[in-house]
Amino acid sequence: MGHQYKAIQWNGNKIVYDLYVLASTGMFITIFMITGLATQPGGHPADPVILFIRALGVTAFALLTVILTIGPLARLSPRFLPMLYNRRHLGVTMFIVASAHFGLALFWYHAGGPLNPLVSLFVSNPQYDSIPGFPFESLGFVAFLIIFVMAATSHDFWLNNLSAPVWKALHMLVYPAYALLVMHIVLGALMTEKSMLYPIMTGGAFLFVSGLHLYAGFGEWRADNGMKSLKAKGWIDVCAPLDIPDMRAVIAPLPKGDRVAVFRYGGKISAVTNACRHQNGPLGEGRVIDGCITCPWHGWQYRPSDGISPPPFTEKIATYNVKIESGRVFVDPKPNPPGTRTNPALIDMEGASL
Amino acid sequence: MKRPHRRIHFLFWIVIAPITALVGYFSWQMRPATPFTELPPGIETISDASTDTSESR
Repeated sequence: MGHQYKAIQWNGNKIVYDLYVLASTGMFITIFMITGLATQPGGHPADPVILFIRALGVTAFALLTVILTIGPLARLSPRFLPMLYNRRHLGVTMFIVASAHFGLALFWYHAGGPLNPLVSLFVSNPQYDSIPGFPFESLGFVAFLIIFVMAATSHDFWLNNLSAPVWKALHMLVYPAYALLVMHIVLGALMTEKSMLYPIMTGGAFLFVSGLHLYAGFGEWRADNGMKSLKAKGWIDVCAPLDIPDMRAVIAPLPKGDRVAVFRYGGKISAVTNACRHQNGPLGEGRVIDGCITCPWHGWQYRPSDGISPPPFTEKIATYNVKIESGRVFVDPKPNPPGTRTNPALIDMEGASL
Repeated sequence: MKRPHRRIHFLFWIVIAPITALVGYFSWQMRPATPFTELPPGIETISDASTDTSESR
């Protein structure tokens, strides 16, 4: 939480996860190199340096593809939430691999001439009006710049200083970066590849990522449409008390496109906004841990009754008044100011109000 | 409170995914029949000397 800035919030799980990521990345590059050297694509011995440049590029693209699938997968199934929790480290790993690809390619192809390598990258091939001969390196460079900005602002320091909406908007640039990388590959490697393996893998990865985002987004869009049909007046009938799993929540639509997370913990029910203060994560998909609502994305916590983070943290989220009548949970659609204490609704064993 | 960017996020993929897929596919269809990495050595040498673009491929 944002009480103070820490370098990295390490814990045992993150270290194990990072070791897996590093081992998998290293193994992927190694297998790519061994396979490339053994198969001699094009019928002639592969240049090890060029093969290594390509191995780094393929690895970075594969990592970015995995990164971009984590968000929608976590929307579709909570099984993927641990990947979301560790996504930022995966992003930094991808940036390091992409930096190696960029640096080595720049040195190998553009450092030997009289021009500045960065200038050479843009002017050595002036065929900007040709598709087969397009200087695909320029697309990769723009994508790399975006990824660089994202990596540089990945720390919570920047999230707090830029505010969550601005930070999120900035980091959504990863999508155009991914599109640029696809075109970087299509206009670069795929122009010289006779094997269908590369086009199928590149196209398949892009279609898979796009399909997942559209599928998950369509679900959100349908939920938003359901909200619009609600009337603003009166309390919202959410569900029966025992329809809410213990220590978990039911997310209910509210008028004007808002959403409320209605939590059951023990014999109590409280309602808070569904948006976490950190990165607007879906609080209603989290759990009550140690008496606090815990965001499934990065573990930020809030007390259910007043929406305030436990000491020493000071974050606050909006709460909603809640009541149980006739065996149903009702929520007042008007949010209370962040941090407002509310009285939890009490339930008996049969699920009726006490 | 709404989660910002939810709709922008969805619209982004509706717009960017088909455009990238179509442009990528038609660009790939226009690839040379014989990649210049596989041109006979003589022609490849001439190409290198005159344009200095093939090395980056």
